[in-house]
Amino acid sequence: MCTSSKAGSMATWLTISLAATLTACAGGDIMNSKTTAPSADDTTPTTVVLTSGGVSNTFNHDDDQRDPFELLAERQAEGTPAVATRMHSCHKLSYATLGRVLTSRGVDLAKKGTAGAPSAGELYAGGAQALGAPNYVSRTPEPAEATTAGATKMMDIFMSAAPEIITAMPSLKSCEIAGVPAQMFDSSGYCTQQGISCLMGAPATQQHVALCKQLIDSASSPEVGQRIAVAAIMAATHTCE
Amino acid sequence: MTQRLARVMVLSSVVLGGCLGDGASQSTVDAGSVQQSAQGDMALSAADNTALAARTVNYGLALRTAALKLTGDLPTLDEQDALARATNAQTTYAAQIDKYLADPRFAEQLIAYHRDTFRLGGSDASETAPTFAARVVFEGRPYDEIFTATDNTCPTWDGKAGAFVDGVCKNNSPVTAGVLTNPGVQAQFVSNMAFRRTRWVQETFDCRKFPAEFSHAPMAMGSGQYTSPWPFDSITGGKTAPVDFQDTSAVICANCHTSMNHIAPLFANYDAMGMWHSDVQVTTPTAGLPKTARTDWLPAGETTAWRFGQEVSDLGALGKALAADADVQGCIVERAYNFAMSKGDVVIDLQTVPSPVLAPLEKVYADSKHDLKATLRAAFTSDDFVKF
Repeated sequence: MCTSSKAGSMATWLTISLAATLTACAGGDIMNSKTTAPSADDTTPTTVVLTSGGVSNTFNHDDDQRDPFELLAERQAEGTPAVATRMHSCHKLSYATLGRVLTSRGVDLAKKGTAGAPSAGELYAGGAQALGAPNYVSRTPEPAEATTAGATKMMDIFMSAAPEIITAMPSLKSCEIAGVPAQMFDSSGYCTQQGISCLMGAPATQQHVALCKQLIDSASSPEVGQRIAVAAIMAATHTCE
Repeated sequence: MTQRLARVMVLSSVVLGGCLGDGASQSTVDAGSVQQSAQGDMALSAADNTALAARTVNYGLALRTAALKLTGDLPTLDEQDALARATNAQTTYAAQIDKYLADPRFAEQLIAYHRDTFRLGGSDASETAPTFAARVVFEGRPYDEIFTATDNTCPTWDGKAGAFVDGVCKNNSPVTAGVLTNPGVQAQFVSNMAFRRTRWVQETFDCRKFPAEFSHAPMAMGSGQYTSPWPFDSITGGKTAPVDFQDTSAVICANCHTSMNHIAPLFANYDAMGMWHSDVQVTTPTAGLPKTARTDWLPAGETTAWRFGQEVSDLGALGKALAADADVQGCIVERAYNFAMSKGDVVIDLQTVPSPVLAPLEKVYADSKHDLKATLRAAFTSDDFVKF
């Protein structure tokens, strides 16, 4: 009798539809509401959003699911499941991974800021929430998608980290080829292909080099341009895993 | 396909029959979406084929995303250079993936993966379940052990040594069943009537929310449809019950609770700290929050079960049932696939994967005797993974 086997994307639509049904059928009895009453699924009456029952029917339940129609719109925007699932999505760098990437590219996360300006490490440490670090106390895993606040914070971090990265690159094991260290900039002050590859973690092209040159040339000074170039390359590349 | 169509029919009847008024028009859209999705699974359109064919192999980009996921860091310039100079990029790339899979940093990434999957971590107690699951994968053991292992299920990770350290869960549990009896899990998901623990098992290992079971013959009941295969009166209900799980006045509680109430009592004897006691520790959400009596979930004579017809008497038996469940195995592979392809969570973000897409990895999982490391290797070296 039971048809509990999963049917791939069917589960998506099933879940969406059932959730929609429950929501649509709720009428006045089951509405999103805040409550401090005991919950059948919750012993910690707090500000958690719950569904509340009527006077004599259902008990409260956790209401921690996302809007099913919002999810439906997201999945539909991605295209048919048979195609969309076979393509890489843009998962944000996890908070911990961002820290390791900064460290391996020469940033000292323990370094203190100077002259009132926070260091990259301080921005990183203070930006956990904006960067989407998980909150397991509330049973919340790290989200897949970056937010505007997170992307902005990451750009701030890379801008602050750029001088450290530029200085450190010649001594970084992660930026060596056969024991020969890479240089971020050549004798003319423009990006090297190897330097960009080290920042990105993937082979750079001449287009990347040309873009870097453009950024440096358009800045108020070469030093500022170099800093902007490093930060921009890292921010753009590391938007996604 | 037969099962899929059956589910569409069940769904349609639930959705369309479940309510009147404002909900009806919205629900019609949902039913159409389901049918569209079912057709989408069967064959690719010309546009789909064009989109897939437009991708090109790029081992450099593949190495970057693989390194970030498997080691938590970018590939070194040396690793990039070796790939760029390789006469056989595919072989060189696969060899580098094998190095990553043997790297202690991969163990740390597996711990992080399981923190997010299990939705717990950070404290000493809550780290042991993700660490245990990570160890099972890292050591190439059958992933079933996360449900069935009876020893060393509370290991720790020594980051400096880059090694797992044995650990026994000390929460007085009379049986040990992988992560199911883990004290951190019990503490993290404590709730009235153990329903949050039950929901954790369902969503984490079956990859979908309740309701979990569906009958071929849903019945009109109250304001909706009763869709569970369980007898309606197999759970506690009625006006004199502390909680009327047979209520049908707003929604059909039994659609979910027939499954939930047969599982929840198995987790009832763990307290808020995850310690097991000889008597029930969870409470019923009625006046005074009394300790839950068995009859609050199930009528006298009714036994605990994973699914309809699959009786389980304790968490050890539940672990074996989970390990043997084809849906659970599919869920494990689905989560691994989403991890590789940078997708969101299969439950939270509804990032489900069509069966035909998942089938090759499910075969690897089965053929490797449920070795998730081997399955991940297959995912990270697959044709889809190296194309952008």
